[in-house]
Amino acid sequence: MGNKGFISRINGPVLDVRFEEKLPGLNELLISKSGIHLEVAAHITPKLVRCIALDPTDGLLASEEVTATGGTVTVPVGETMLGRTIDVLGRPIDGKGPITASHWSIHRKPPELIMINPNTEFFETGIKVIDLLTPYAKGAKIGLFGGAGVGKTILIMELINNVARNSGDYSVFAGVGERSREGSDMILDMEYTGALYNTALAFGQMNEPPGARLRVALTGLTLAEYFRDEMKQDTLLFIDNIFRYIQAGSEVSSLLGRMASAVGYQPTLANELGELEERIASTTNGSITSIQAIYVPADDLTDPAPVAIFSHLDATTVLSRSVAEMGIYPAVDPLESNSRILEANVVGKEHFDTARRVQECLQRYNELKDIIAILGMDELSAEDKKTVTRARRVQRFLSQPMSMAEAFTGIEGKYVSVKDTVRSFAAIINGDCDNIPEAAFFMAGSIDDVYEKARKI
Amino acid sequence: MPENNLFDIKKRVTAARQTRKITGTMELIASSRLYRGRILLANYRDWAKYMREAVRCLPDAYFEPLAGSEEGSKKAYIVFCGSKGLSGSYGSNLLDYAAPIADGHLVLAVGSATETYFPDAYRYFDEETPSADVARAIAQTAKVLYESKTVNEVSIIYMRGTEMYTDRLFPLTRIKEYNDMVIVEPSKKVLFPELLEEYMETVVYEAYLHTFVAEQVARVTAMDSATQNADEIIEDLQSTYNRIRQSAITQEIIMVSNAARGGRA
Repeated sequence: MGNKGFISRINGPVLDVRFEEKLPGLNELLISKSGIHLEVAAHITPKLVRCIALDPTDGLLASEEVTATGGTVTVPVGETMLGRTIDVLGRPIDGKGPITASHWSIHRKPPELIMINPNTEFFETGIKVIDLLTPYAKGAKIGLFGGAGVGKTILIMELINNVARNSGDYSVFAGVGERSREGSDMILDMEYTGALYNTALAFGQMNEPPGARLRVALTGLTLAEYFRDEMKQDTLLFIDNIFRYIQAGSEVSSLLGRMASAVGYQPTLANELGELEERIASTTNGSITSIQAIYVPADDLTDPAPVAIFSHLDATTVLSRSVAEMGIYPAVDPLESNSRILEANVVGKEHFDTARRVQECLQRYNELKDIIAILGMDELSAEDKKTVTRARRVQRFLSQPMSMAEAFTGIEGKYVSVKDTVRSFAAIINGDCDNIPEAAFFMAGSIDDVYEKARKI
Repeated sequence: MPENNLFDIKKRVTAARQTRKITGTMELIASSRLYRGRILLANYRDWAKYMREAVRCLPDAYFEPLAGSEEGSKKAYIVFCGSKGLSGSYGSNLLDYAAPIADGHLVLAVGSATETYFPDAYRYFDEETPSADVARAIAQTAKVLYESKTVNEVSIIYMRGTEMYTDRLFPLTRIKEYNDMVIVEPSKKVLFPELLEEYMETVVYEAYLHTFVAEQVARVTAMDSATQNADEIIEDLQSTYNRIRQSAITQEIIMVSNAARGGRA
């Protein structure tokens, strides 16, 4: 049965398989006799293919027989997937029994140019700093950048909580190379809130071989594409963490025999990423709003991986360590973050003006910081002193208690509508709150919360 | 991120260096002015002391027009405040002290720094070193205001060391009873009115000098700590700069040497 070959060399997650008669094509799925799945990555000689293992290669022997399936990796798709969790190959890992559904290949073409629908409809997240400064659009690609431990995962969970639960849209979550514990925590959380039954999940976490982490993003994406193309649904796609996809690619790249490029990344970095990102698109069928967490190695945004991802995104929310160090969560850097739809004719003039004035105020404060550090506040002009007062209040007001962080802060999470957000920031920047102590602005919801807190102080 | 950008760091170092130059120079200037101010004050103190003694000898008749006993609410305040800036919290301390006292009253202000606090004041502009001309002009205005009953009290707000004081100028207070035994030359009629004028000017000028010296002290302290702060910032930024630069170099060397090896294998 089928086209058979033999393993001739095993090098960690990368294997060479010898086929005497007919070579399997690129991306074809091979299965070894012991049940290990391999994907063809390169043709070395007319008889030798180089494969990436999608399962751990423990106990695998060279000379083991391998069967070419003639197709690519396929995963189950459709409505039955809601509430289910699968691994990279579409096998259920939630212990809820086997899945019977139609299967789609994880390797697909991006939608054609003519199909793409550049939507610019604002959608509310309930998180002040995001709604104000980096407004998200329906059907847009959104990136959450951040170094280790600044709160990317918490923020993405909060977004799932706020967005996925409130909208009736289907959601897909792809866990790529992150902690397994976070994945299981999230499933339990979602089950508790009921969001799970609108969500399909795919996990390939840290414990999995690079091949699995490299392909699981595609598995998740395929689920979302089915919702969009076949069910004409608006879909939310959460990926945590897209950097791990690149990292997995880089782990196998040199084993595949490719010479490393800048900072040790694979020479095919832009291409690999483009294959994934170009498929995340909103078409005339329906939209995919994707929110992707992106790990920033060593807090360096100029690293080739974040740089490559940047160019694909419509909105970038940058989490910064210096903000986190001040104890302000979500630790969004208000000056580094931006959004394509932050323009007056999308979000409205009042929103736009307020956001720009907030940024100007914070920018000016940043410029003044060195002067203050050297000469002290007293040397500032009256105008600058006012700017500093307001900037410090704005800075504190950018923090917000989140439902997902209740366990850490002990403060109940607050959802703030964009109308309240704009009104609140406008009040601060107009100087209505100059006399309220700074502490009242910390971890508050809307400006009414601040007044309330100020009364108590 | 800006903290990782070599160019930005370089710019901040340059800015801090420039600021440090200014603060360092200002410290030197202020200490030389302080020295000058102290000498002026030391010399003037004796004069002021004798002036006070002399005024004690004036008979009541000369005092009367300037020593109205009625308490009134129409007051005037003379406020001194150097306007040069770069003196830490000196200006705001002094003016924060003066503002509630002089609020709603007539103000004779010295120095343009008083503009934000007392926009409607009679303003006198201060000079490099306090001049007796300014003091005389103020004393005369105060006298006119008092004599014309525009106000019925005039006080001086000034700084001495690091403390703020409010001293009353009008109505004049009798310190000691008139002593008829004093011999006055050439005659009481000629000397006494002039003495009184001199006295008022002296009180104003002394307060002016005290404030001037206090300003220089504040400036020396402020500039000294500013210079130290700048040094710290420069050192911090410079070491960050060096670290980032070195790691970039290391990275590049690794990449080149790895590529060279990779090419052979």
